[in-house]
Amino acid sequence: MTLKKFTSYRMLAVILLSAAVSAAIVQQNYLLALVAMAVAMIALYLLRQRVTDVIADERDYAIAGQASRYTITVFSLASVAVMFVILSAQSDNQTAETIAYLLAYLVCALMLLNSFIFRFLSLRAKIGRISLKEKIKAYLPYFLIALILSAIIIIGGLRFFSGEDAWICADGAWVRHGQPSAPQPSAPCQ
Amino acid sequence: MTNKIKELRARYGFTQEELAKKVGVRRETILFLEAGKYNPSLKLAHDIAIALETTVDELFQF
Repeated sequence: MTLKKFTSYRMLAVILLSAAVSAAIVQQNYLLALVAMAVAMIALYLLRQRVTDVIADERDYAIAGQASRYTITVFSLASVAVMFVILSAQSDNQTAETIAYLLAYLVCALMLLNSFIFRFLSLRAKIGRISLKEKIKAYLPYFLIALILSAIIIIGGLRFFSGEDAWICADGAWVRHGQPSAPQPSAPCQ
Repeated sequence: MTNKIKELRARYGFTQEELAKKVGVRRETILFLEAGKYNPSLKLAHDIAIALETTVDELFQF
């Protein structure tokens, strides 16, 4: 298969996937979105195997690396700026505060992930061909760090988004639940 | 850095597409190389030199 034909199939797959995800959101059937995404990924992977032309070469990888660096920088700076604007302008709005903290949380996660992947790739390039035992020994600290980071992110995420510390509207009155950082909402409780 | 890729490619009658296929890159990379807008890796420089039956030293002038 030529690269041109593969590009056409890829565009078709994106259109079909968008349609499936839109339908899933309308029907609130999120399993459909997940299945559609998995099917599209597998189909594209199988099609990619049949392409005889070069899809990407060393120049593309060099540009991709540069693009990734700029993307991380722009996303981090923009997110931090938006976070400060939201926090200063909407300090008593709980939804805005959640969005601001979510942005800060995402920037931290992105930086940690980038630093971790960089170290991992750097190590992989350095050790080259070694025995399985030595490989396990070399990768073990990275695996443990990944495990600890995943646990922190999952526990932090659950704690942050579980609504433990929030104002809850019950029987027409705002009730404090946990230790919410925001003052009682000024909007009427209905 | 300058190079003789265009000159040697013409001598052997290769198109950019053919040379790209021989060394396993996209045609655009050969285009950028010939225009002196991209510095190749040592492996790619070596592969191009082999394809054009010359040496890296002959192909690229620093």
